[in-house]
Amino acid sequence: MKKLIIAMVIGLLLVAALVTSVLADNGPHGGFTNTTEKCAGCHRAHSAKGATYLLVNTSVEALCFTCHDGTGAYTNVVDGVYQNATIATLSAPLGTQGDKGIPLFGGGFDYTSFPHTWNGKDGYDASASLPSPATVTSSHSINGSSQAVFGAGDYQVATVPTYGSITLECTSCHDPHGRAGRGPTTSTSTFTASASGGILAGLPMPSYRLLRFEPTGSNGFEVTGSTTLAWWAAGNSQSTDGITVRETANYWYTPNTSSTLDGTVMFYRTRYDSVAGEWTAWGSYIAQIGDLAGRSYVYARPAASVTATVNAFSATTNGVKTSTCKDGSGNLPPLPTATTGGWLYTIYACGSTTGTSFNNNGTTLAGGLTAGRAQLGYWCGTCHDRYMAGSGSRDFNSGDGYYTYRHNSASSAVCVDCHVAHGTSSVMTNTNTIYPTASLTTGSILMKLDERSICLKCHGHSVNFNYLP
Amino acid sequence: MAKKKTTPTTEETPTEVETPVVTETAQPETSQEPPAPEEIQDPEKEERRRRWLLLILLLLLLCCCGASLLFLRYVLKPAPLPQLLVPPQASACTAPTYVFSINEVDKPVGVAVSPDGQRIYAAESDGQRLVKIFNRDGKLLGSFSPPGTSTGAREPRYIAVDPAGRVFMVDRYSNAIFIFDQDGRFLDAIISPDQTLSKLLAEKLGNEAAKALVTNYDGVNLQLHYIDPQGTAQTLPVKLSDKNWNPLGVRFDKLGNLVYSDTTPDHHNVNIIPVDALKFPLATFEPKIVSFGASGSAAGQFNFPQVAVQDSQGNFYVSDGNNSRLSAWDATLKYRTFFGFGSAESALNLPRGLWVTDRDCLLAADAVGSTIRVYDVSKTEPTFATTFGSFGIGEGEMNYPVDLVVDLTGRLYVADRDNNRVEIWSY
Repeated sequence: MKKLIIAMVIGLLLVAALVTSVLADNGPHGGFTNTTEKCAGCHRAHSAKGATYLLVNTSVEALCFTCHDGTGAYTNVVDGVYQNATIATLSAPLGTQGDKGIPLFGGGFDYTSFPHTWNGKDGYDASASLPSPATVTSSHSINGSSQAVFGAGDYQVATVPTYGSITLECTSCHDPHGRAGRGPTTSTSTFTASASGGILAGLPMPSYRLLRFEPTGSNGFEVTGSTTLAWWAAGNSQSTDGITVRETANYWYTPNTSSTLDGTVMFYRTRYDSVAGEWTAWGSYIAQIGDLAGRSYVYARPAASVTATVNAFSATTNGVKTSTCKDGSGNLPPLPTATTGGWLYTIYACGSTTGTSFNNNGTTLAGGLTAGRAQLGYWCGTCHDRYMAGSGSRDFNSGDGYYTYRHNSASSAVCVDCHVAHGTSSVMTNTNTIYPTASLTTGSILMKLDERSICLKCHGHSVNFNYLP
Repeated sequence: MAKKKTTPTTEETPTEVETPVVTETAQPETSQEPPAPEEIQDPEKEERRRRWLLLILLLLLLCCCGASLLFLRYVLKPAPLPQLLVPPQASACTAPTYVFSINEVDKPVGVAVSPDGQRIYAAESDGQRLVKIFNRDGKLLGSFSPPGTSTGAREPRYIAVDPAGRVFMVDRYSNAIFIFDQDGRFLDAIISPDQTLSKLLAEKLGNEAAKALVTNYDGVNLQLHYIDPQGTAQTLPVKLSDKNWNPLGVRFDKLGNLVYSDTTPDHHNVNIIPVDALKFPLATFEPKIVSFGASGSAAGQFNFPQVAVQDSQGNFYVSDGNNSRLSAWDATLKYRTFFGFGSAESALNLPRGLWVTDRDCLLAADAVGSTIRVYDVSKTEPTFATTFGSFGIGEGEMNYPVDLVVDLTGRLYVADRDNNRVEIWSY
């Protein structure tokens, strides 16, 4: 009898030992250590409720909204507001995150609170106030359903546009793993850039709002080992030390042969040369792999002032205008300096080099990397690639049969000058009534302002649309 | 048959002699050893043996019954073996029984009940974002919201009811705690640690303030809209002191003090507004707020604290949301320990709402875990007691439970957010 009792007790102990569950701790975005438990904040190895990524919640969207509805993070993307306690002075152009109730740059998915109706005044209006939140009229659909992606698809010269479709989730654009990826897990240090644009020291900064290096792509990667990298031709996927660099139609990789940046790999945007029948580099490099103490990192950065070592083709040679991504006055965006650190990037009004800084200028985050408006323009162009255009693109045939002459999307008027990324509450009623061919789509197309008044932002008055993100 | 044997005579022919016929029969083999002496029978010993046998049989029968009950228990509600067995010293913190659900709510994130248990309040985070009032049968009695707000301009979150039946509702959009009577009529709003709307009006209108009617408080643009005693619509710019706040969770402790969590950047903590400062009207709102905790993930720190509740001994427990744990503080607000952290069944994934029963059972809504975890906090060290509810849409199942409350009748209400319902359980 005694033996039976002992055997039962041992059996119970064995059973109890097999019952395990997983714990979650802290916020889930990055900072993983060798004793991390953070994985369990979002994932379950065996008892997941969401498919594909083995999520604790039924979908990526639902999971992200568990915190980003204001109860676990200040970035409330449901209501499109930055929700903390700092009492807003509401006296400066929108661009300072951290003010209570200030609209997020990307808008919201259910509501936004940025003004979508121009108040008709010129200049900054100190008496203006934030409007009441309004229901979103259009948004990037992130519920995993297939949606049309305008200005994308196979390049072709026909007059009938084609566009592809895409399925988006929050993680298509944001990396929930933060800087973790394959990069360092140490805390951010101040980034220092050289005057020539190379990397002197420091570690890659966390990307702005955890944006991926490219939409639906990786968040950058670490290249270890040899710094002598092979020539990578467009159209190929190359591997170095087991890490694959993903090729897209927008990025082209080539080792930089500049003497100041030997051993680095430069990323250029690409465009299709219909005359040459091939994809070629276009514009200044937008990213680079640098060699730092035997480790190299890839990160995104604003358009550089370093002269591209690969010359883009010119109109006289190929009959197609190219661009070096300068603003309307021929200036390249300024580089950060060694003394300022980070990426201080001031954006000027359309076509000018001075004047009132529009909102959404690339303010240096504390030790962090700013996206920069131009960078975001390139970034959006990863999917909406047929909209990408540099200065002068209104004058020269792009070679695209439908998007033949285009508005500059490179530096002085990038995508996020007119559109938001998450959702807008602007009203668009006349699109297909008065000008039926003005747009491929009905709705407010993520435009910041009602109807076509966004044009006035640059082409009308010297208006600073208060609190416009 | 024996043959008769006769002696033959001289002249007689010999007759057959009957010889006995021996029928051979099997004879048992006999041991070569001498037979053992006969055992002496001991009746008492025999009796004892019978009793032992009976006892063993009885025990076996009991084991079989126990195993059968265990099997039946498993069939009715499958669970790991440790959960099926009742520990020798069973905790008083047991799981309640599911009763029914109220379905007329859109993503409820806060739930509270009136002191008499007759009214249930549920704060919605979707749809019209109202606070809805239900009776005990689940019938909708009414709804309310901060005055003059559109759907997008209100974000109700946690709610709590004071001993007088007033409903306190955190609104994250306006960064304020709105106060309503039991029927949802607006009474006042605490808009900063030292300011209320009635106080603002009192400063503006003096004795006439009580005749003013608040039509809207815009906590983003800091404007108070009201109808003055003369019936004219007015707008009063609100200038707040430098006392910042960002309230998230609200509860009332045993004394009627208002306990709220604050998520001001770099100042995540828990604060107590004394009951004396909550005497209506709140026109002279000057509370001496006591705070505990700080921002971070170390011991005694918080990362988006959700709510704080108090047990019968005066100890406080805080759901430390983004740190995925609960922390315990003694009655003097000194930090004691944290728990619910680890890799066991007692571990929390994303703790949100908390409640302490009168038996000092601490119930924690584990939002991501889609379950309610129960801890016995009646002793010095909190111990895990049980868990109930699982992921799903069925009865007794949950999908992102956010808040919970127990009324005086032993009814438990759970804001089952992603199932768009309030579940009712009963002890």
